[in-house]
Amino acid sequence: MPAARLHGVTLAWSSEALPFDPLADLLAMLEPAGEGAGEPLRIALRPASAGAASDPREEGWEPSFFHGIVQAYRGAGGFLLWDRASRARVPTDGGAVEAEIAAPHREVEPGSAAAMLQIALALALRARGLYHLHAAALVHGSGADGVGVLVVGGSGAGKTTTTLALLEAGAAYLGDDALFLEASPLTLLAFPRAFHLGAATLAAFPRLAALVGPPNGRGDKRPLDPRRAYPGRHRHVLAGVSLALFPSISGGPVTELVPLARAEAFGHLLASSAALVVDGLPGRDENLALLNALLRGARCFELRLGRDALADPVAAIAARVAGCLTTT
Amino acid sequence: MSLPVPNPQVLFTEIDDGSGVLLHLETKFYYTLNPTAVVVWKALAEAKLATVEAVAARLTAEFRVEPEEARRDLGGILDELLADGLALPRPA
Repeated sequence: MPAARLHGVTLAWSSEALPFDPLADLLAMLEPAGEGAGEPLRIALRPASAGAASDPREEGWEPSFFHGIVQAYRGAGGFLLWDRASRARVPTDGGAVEAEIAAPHREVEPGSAAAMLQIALALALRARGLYHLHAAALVHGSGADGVGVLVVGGSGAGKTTTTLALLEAGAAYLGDDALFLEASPLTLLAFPRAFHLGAATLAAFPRLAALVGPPNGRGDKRPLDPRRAYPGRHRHVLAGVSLALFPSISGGPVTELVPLARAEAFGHLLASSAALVVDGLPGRDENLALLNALLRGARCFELRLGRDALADPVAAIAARVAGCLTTT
Repeated sequence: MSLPVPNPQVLFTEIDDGSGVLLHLETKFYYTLNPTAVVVWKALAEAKLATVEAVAARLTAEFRVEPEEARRDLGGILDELLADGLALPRPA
């Protein structure tokens, strides 16, 4: 049974009856778990039964939320995730996740089972005190002078472009898209995984063209192993952030950093944490408090990405961010 | 005149600069509150402060504004909270 460590939580999954491991890609960069690592979060994966493709509403499940093609339903004791071919049951008490996975050629949308399992993992880890955050995090500068930088935005807002620009300028990284938050004390935790670069982002960083893999799953984004592109610059944890950036594509000629009121910044953070509005979500109050604490003490800026951000991202983004960090 | 009450489907987070954010769990919208609106929102949850006059008096004291201005600000905030379903008419 494969097992991996994610910040004190052991993930142990079984997929022996499947001809492939549906979690292999998602968890490939985690450290293998050793013996005696505590009670693991178990994930049982087996081939989809005939009933996996049937509508959960017919079995009494109540619709809860949709995320792309993945539909979530709520019932006694937890959630049921469904992509119309595969299913995953996620108990809210931290019990084992049980998933029925369809063969890839039966997926309604390529990669949807992997997306479903990622959501299942994020829901299940809440019971272990790990709260998923859709954001990038970096450390600007080195040693005691290192400053935590959070980059928050929806898909297409420019998170990865901003992350890569700061990395090209020498920053270290936790991740470009997915993090976890933990309380007592507040800590940002990396979820080690590949970056995913769209065509425009890749064109802006020609050095990376030789390092990306072929498109996989949905869309045309290409995976980049950050350990290979930026060796020695991975960080597992970050105690807090001093700067929070909220990128968006402005369409103007020049990139701008515009101060953002804290309440507005917190609102953007809520918008990036869509699960918070899910009925029956465990740990919602603690999650809200963590998001609030995360921005406490941080300077917040809209990063309005202009056309110069793709022409010369280091000058347009990283130099402006560095300038902002040197002014008080 | 009695005050409305907070919609139980709305989550309030107070920011340490005095502002705040409301998250409406049904509409999924969030709303930012300035410090005046934060004081009003917190007052809505206090049964002992259940009149417009009492809250206006608190605004007058906390923000050093004239009573007339406080009543006007309060009226505007309550209208917006009710219009967006963030607050509900107080049950009889």
